[in-house]
Amino acid sequence: MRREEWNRIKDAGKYYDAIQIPEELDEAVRRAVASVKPDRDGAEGSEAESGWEEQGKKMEQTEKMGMTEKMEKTDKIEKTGESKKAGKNEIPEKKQKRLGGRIFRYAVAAAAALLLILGIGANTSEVFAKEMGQLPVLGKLVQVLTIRSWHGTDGDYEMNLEVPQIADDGNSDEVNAEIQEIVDAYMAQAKEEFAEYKEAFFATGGTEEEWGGRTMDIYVDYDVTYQEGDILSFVLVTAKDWVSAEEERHYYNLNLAEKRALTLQELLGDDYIDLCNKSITEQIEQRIQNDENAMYFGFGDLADTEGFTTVTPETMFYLNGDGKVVIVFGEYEIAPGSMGFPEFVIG
Amino acid sequence: MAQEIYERAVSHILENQDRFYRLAYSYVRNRDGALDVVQNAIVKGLEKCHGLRNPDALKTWFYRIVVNESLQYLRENRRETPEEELPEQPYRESAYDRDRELYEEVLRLPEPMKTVVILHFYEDLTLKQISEITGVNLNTVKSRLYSALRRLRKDWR
Repeated sequence: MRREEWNRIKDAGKYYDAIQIPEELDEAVRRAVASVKPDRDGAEGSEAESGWEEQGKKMEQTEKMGMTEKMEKTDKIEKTGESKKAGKNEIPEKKQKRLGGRIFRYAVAAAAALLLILGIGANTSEVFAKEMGQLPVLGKLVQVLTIRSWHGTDGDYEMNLEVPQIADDGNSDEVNAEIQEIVDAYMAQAKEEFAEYKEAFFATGGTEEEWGGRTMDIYVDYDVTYQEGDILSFVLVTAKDWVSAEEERHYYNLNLAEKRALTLQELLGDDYIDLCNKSITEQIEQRIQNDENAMYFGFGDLADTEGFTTVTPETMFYLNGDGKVVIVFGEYEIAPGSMGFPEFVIG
Repeated sequence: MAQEIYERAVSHILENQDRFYRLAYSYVRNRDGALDVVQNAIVKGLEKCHGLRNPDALKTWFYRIVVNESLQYLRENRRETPEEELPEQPYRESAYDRDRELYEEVLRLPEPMKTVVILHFYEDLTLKQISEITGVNLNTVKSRLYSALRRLRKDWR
């Protein structure tokens, strides 16, 4: 992030700070506090107490998981011989690098108006070779790399593209072609939508001044979640951003040696459907119980809406750092949009 | 232990009540609504704080409740309560004030992005803390922050 941008958003915060605190706040706070305080030790049942304990456990676990993840990343950085240390309370090194790089490239791109880098592979491009060295997760085995990196403005569009490709001597050509197709189709569709919007804007009497040079953001990125031997799991994320932010995810779970996609059945066994259904239902119920803001269609307050029914062979999933299957549902698929993409670790 | 957490929670609330009010107000945009949100958040927070084993988590924990209560309020009161204008002159009619316009843009961001921007820039929380508050992973917080920045950038051209 450029210093100037940072400062501007900070400066605008004076309007946030200027939100007037009403005189009644003191009284309202005191009354709320008082309404909870009396006889909490006596009247509360033991059941309720245990409910709180649960909540506490959950929070602790979340924290622990955060730590583990961090340590793993630190571990990997060391393994690949990168000398930079990941600070304990800092963003994991890998991501920091990537995001930092992204913004830096953005700055360059904004100045140059258009920056297009097309690379062919790690061996033929110094830029990519260098970048690969900075991605600890990929350090030991160069198999997923950025084939196209583009951060800049193209007419009405702002591009933030990191398009991945698997480099393994042509074994993954099909997957690579599919990724390319998805990205191309996504961009074409996004541009069409935006062009229609722009046309309608002016057709209905909008002026250039009102339009104010608005643009659409198109965003493509990927994340490798698991890589061990020939098994590779990664997600391709596409997003466009104008009226509302919309995100799509495409998960790839591949056996590179056998040139095929992994299935839930081979990972979890023949009764994977029952296994997943049971686990997901339990996890949803547990989440609703532990967190009153957790909402899922078909459960709790939303019991009369149609929600999660069953996993199918097509259900999205990926492998996490421990190699465990994580089932993923789309936004709004089994829960309100505020729940994002609900995930369930199986087993 | 439970009693100790409870007392810490109460003093945390009393010390930070203005912050909670501003945060709530930035979502619901009206005074009575923001007061309601703060009250509900306090009641829920104090009822549940005994489960918090780690007192250091108090800060993020309480922000989480305020954010969730604000969103809850918006869901329940959609279209019923008018948004109050920012103090002083109405939007866009004054002389050009770029900070003000930018702040308006922040308020207009879609909810998940707005939450990240407000907590990060105006409540000075780290992205890691925001990930705890919003219950999504760090990468998602980052992607929301960058989406928000991409949007806001258009504004300062």
